[in-house]
Amino acid sequence: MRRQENQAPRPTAGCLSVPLFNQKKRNRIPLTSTPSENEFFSHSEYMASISSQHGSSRPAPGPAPAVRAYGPIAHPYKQGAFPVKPAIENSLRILTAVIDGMRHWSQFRDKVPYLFEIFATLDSAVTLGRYGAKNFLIRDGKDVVQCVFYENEQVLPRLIRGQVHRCVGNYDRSRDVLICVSVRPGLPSELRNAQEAVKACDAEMRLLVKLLSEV
Amino acid sequence: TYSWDRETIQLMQTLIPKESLLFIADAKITFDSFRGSMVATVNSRSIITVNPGKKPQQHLQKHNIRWNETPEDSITDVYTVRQLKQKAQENPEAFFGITYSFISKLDLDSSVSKVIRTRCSRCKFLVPEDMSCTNQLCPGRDQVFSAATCFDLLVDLSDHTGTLQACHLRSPMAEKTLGCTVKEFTSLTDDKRTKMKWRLLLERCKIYVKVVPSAKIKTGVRGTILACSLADPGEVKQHMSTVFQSHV
Repeated sequence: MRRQENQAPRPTAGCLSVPLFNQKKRNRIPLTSTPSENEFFSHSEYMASISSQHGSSRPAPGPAPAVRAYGPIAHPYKQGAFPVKPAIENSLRILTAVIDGMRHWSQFRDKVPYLFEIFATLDSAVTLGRYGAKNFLIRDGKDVVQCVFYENEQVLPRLIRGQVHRCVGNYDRSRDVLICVSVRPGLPSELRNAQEAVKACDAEMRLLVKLLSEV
Repeated sequence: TYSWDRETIQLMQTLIPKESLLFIADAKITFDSFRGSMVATVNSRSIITVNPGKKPQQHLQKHNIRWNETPEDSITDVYTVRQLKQKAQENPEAFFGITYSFISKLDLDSSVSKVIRTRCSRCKFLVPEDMSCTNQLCPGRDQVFSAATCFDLLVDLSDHTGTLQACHLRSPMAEKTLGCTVKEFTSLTDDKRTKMKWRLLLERCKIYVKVVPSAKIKTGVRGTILACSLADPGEVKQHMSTVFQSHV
C-alpha cells in the first residue's frame, strides 16, 4: 500500500459517460451514467478521443501509467528519455459516500469520473414522473437528496419508507438529483460496513483533490 | 469384470472428496482422446494406499504440489484496483490477489457472442460458430470438426481507486459466478439475462484475480477472474479499514 506520487493532472474533454444499460432495451431517454449528455460513449471511445486531442502535443511518455491518454503505450519496463509523471487515474471510480460528502465531491466530477454508493433512509413515497421515472427522497442524518430511477431494464423493487436503502448512481450537481442506476434495500451488515468505506473513499478523494489542485 | 476392479470401485466409494489423500503406485498413464487429456488408470498391478501418512504429505508440501486446491485456499493478499495496476507495472511476473470491487461492466444481455464462445475441442482455438477449425497447427485438422462452447466474457472491476477493464471471466469460473451452465444460459430469455446481470452489476464482490502485465494491452494489465461472489460486508469493512490506515 503506497501513497500516490505527485502527478501532473491532465485536462479532460468533459464528462465521461459510462454505458451500463443494454442498448436494445433503452426505449426512452438514452441513459448513461452522466445525466446531462445524450451522446453515448464507450470508455474506449472516450479514451481514443482524448488521445487524439492531446497525443501530438505531448512528449514521448516514460514509464507507462495505468491508463494511457497520450498516444502509443511505452513498454511497461522501458525508461523514457526523461521521467514523465503519470497522469491522474481517470478510469471510473465508485465511491461510498454520505449525502453531504456526495455533494462536496461532485464538484470535481468533470475532472474524474465516479458513481456514488449511498446508504440512506427512504424519506418519501415513490412517485411517478415523466418518461416513467420513479422519484423519491432519501435522507441520512440532516441531509436529504432527491433520487430518480428509470425503469429501463429493471422495475424498481418495493421500497419501504423509513428503511435504509442502497442507491448507486450519478449525482447531477446542476439539478441536485441523484440519478440512480441501482436501488435496493440495504442489508444491516452493509450499513455497519458503510462508514468504514466512506472514510476510505473520503481519504482517497482528499488525495485526488490535492493532486488536481496542483496544476 | 475383474475382481480387482470391483474392489477398487468399492474402495473409491469409501473415500471423501477433497479430504482423502491417495498414494498410487503403478498406475497406467495414457492419453484419453475423449477427455482430451492424460488420465491415470488403475489395473491389477496398481497399489492404492489411502491417507499414507506424514511423509508423502510433506513431499507434496516440499515440492509445492497443490492438489484439489481452489483459489480460495491459496490466495490471501488483498489489493485495491490501483494496487493491482501498480504491482503489474513494477513486476514482470503474473501474480494473484483478492479485490473487493464493484463489477462495473457485465454485458450478459447484449449479444450472445460477447458471452459465449466456441472453441475447437482438439486445440482450443476460438472458432466462428459451426465452422471448421482455422488453426493450421490443429492436431485434429483431418478429423471431423468438434467444438465446445464455453463462457468467455470481459468484465470491468471498479473501486474508489479506479477500474480494471476487460478482465476475463471464462468457463469454468463463469458457471460458478453466474450460477448456470452454458446450455442453461443460452436458453434464458433476455429478461432473465438482464436479471442475472443486475444481481452482480454495481454490487461489491469478492474477486480472486490473476493479474498479468502485458505490453500488448493499452492499459498494460490483463486480469483473469478465478472466483467471484458477492462480498461479505464484514470482510469489506476490514479491508476498508486497512485501506484507510494506509492513507493516514
